[in-house]
Amino acid sequence: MTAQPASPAAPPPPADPDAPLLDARDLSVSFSLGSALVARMRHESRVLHAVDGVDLRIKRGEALALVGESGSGKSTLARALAGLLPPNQGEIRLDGKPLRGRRRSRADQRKIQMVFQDPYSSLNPRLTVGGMLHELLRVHHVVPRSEVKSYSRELLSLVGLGEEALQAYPRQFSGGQRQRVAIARALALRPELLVADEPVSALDVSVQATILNLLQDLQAELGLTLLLISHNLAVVRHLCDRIAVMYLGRIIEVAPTETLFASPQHPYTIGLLAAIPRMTFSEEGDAPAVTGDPPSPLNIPSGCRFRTRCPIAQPICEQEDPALTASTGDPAHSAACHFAFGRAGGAPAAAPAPSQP
Amino acid sequence: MLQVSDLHVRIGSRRGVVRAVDGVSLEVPQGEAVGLVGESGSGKSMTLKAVLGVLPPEAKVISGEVLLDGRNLVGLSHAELNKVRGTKLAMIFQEPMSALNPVMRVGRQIAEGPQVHLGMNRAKATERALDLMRRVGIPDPERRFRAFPHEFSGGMRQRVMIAMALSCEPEVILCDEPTTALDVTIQDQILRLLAKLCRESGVSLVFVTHDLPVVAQVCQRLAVMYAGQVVEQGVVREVLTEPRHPYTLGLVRSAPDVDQVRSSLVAIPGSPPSLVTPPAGCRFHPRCKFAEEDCLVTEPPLRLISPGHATACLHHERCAESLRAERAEIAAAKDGAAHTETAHAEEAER
Amino acid sequence: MSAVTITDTPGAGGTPPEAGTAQRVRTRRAQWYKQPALMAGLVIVGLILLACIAAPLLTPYNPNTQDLNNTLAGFSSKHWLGTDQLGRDTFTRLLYGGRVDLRVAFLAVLFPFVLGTILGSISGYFGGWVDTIIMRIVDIVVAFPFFVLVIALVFVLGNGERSIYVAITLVGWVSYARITRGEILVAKRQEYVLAAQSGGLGHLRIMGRHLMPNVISQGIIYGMSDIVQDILAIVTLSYLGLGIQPPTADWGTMISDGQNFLTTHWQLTTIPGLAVVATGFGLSLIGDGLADLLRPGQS
Repeated sequence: MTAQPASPAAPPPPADPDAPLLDARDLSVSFSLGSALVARMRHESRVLHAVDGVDLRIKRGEALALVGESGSGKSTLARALAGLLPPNQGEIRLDGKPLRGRRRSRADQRKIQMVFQDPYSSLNPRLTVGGMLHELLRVHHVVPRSEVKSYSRELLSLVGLGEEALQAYPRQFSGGQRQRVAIARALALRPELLVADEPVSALDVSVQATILNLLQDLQAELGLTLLLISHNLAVVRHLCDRIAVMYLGRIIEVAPTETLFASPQHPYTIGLLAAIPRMTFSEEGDAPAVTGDPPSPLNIPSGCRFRTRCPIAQPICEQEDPALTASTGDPAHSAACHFAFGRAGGAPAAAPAPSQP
Repeated sequence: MLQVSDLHVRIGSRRGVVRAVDGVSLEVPQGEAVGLVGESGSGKSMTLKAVLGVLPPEAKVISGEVLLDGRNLVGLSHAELNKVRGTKLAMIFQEPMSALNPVMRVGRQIAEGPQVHLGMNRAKATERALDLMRRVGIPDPERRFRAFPHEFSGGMRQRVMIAMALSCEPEVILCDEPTTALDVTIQDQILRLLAKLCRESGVSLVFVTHDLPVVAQVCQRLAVMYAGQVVEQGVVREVLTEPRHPYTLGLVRSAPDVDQVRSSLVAIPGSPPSLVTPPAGCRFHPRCKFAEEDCLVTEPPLRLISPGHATACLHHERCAESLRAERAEIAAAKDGAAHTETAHAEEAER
Repeated sequence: MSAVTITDTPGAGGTPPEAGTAQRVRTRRAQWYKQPALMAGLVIVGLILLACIAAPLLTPYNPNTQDLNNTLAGFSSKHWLGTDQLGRDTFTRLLYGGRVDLRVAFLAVLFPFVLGTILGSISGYFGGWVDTIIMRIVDIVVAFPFFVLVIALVFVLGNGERSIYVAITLVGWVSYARITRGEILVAKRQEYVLAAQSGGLGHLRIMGRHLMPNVISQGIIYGMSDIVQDILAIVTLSYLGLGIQPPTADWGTMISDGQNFLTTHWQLTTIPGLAVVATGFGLSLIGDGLADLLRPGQS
């Protein structure tokens, strides 16, 4: 990526270009809920394991999608990576260097920035756009004081807004424009990783396209690494190189985008893909792609967590929790199912994924 | 059969009079599911609310008719409307948590309709409720009957609402974005359920949504709304594959399709117009790339261009042209790609 | 620079958004003048304030000058509202007393407001044991009736203006703390706070610059009704002989002094009483008007 000097928000060059930018190992984030007494009466666990042992590697410059439905833990994982939630277990390494769980150093905090879902609550209503940007730039000394204003203008033009926006308050913008402001804010600190948590879900369909195009262009132009959280596989297919599918706090399948769409291995992924409404106009049966309701995250099933809704569940699924294992044929594709990749089940084809790409 | 005729709804606000629904006509034959598609501010929800007579106090139907089996619902007294609501006309909402009474057991809520409107006694109504719960796929209905709404998941609550809507065997069910707040897999379940119920019991559906593929899944016909007006109407398949209004075309092109990867999504430039002072002539013209001089002056009427397919665009052939051009491009690209593929295959063989 | 395709409004100038929004903003500010409650309240309180400030211009007398030859006089052109039992001009005492009462009332709201808002913010933002401790203290203070505690404190601290401030502050901060804490609990979940944290901004800065401006309006509205209560408290205290001491003119003392002559010279008690009512009414109106204006969901 050699276009650095022209791009104002481009991240600094990497120390080791081949190492993953972000390496999270055995990450767990839990919340304790309510009172212990009530929990005991209800025979429920009072600890909610939102993220339950996740390994994730993000390559520099790639766009990785984290896909899942509500309760999957994807937002929690994103926030833990961005340093907004302390993990209870596990380690996060950025560029090889471990990041602290609580209260990261300012320099570390800069490196991972987030764009949030709701454009209406992610901008402080009392600050002008310029005020907001200036504050960040000043606190982190991103550019010398004299250049703050011009840098802000450049940031805004990167996202397609004119400099009049500097004096405006969030309420004067539409939803799509607010998201642009949010993106500009995230880029202001020249992060290495941009985490976008459902950036277009709250926007109208026609506006979504603008923001998605923008993210795509920014990624190409700035060499940005992108972690996109979404429940919308259509959006993800459009934007991302690799997809990780989450269910009840675990990653249950990871694969390059086209591979995932062409040959999904985990029954949940297969169901998820089949459940997406399409404009195919073919007569389809009454049977839904995935039956039943997801179990409560407080009461995760033993063994494989998907077995209660899985069409091919076997006794082994109740006894053994399948690990995320790579396919022998394609190391880039891993799935956490005893029967993935045509395995007979029970006998793991390879040892638990050590060399995940 | 439900027929909406030239409906106009105005809302009084500090900014002025908002023309939320401006001359909307809709026909819902028996047993058919009709989709009402549009983005926020298009007037689709207001239309539904006007049909049911549950408009907010600032909003008023100033002209037009809503005919249910020939009887005009506009202007009926509250008491008269109540006889129709819940019996012939039912509604399901987007947020099941707010539409269900949190302190009333679910079974009672479902049984309430038949008790009040059909005069059933408690036992019979309970029977009816249990039967409905089975029909909508709520497992273990005897036990769930006594549960409260908060004990149900989102998908289950939506099923409860559907059961409530069905309880008095309505002719038409109005659905206001019922699956927008649900996860994909649950949405899939609910959509299939609705389609099945529609088929099996002959009830009509009016399905409001902003999500085009969802409409494709459930409805046979659809109407596209923009700025308070219907801009295109027709059979779902035809409207979505051969749109004849630039707005519909824009919607179709800007939605990421899970089955195809377009290199760049085409967004619709600009933003929805003010409903207080809408643009003169065609309301979409400021954002339309096919706009011509006459578009600024004449308000185009909704006209049939082929059997069952109507559009409110003076230059709808431009849409057809644009689509043809696009498809030719894609075909050419595929040919080119196939060409290089065969070339590579031959290379590999050698 | 590579072509960054932005398909958006040509001239993507940030400010004009959805048609109508700019209009909405303008109308909201213009609204301020049109709020009947707010305007009426401002007028009433404004007039009273003006009169008190302009006291030397409106009356030639000194509030403490006694004229024992002319005690308990009725309305006359020389003494518009007559004189009290020591020959002091009632009108003058009314105005100068107003100065004292209004000033004390304002300050007596300001200190608890500041203290309560700060403690409430800390409590709400940090949560945990800090929150628990502060809230338990609040619970303890709230358990005592307001007046009882204030009177007791003034009694202990001795008379005078300073004791009033201390007493009311120590008792009155709790309401502000609770209000602010509630607002902060909601506001801190807003994504812009997460964004600020993500941007590496420190706690103090987030609390002060980001959260405070958004949560302060509720406290201000409460403050308006609190001023009314404080005026009553001060007047009551001086009526009881605590707080503001004679010979300083103030409405409470005037009411107290005048009550001996209620049947014969009703104006001595009633007029300062009416002044208290009028001021309270005006402030209430302002509070209502502000509440309507600042109600969340207005933008």
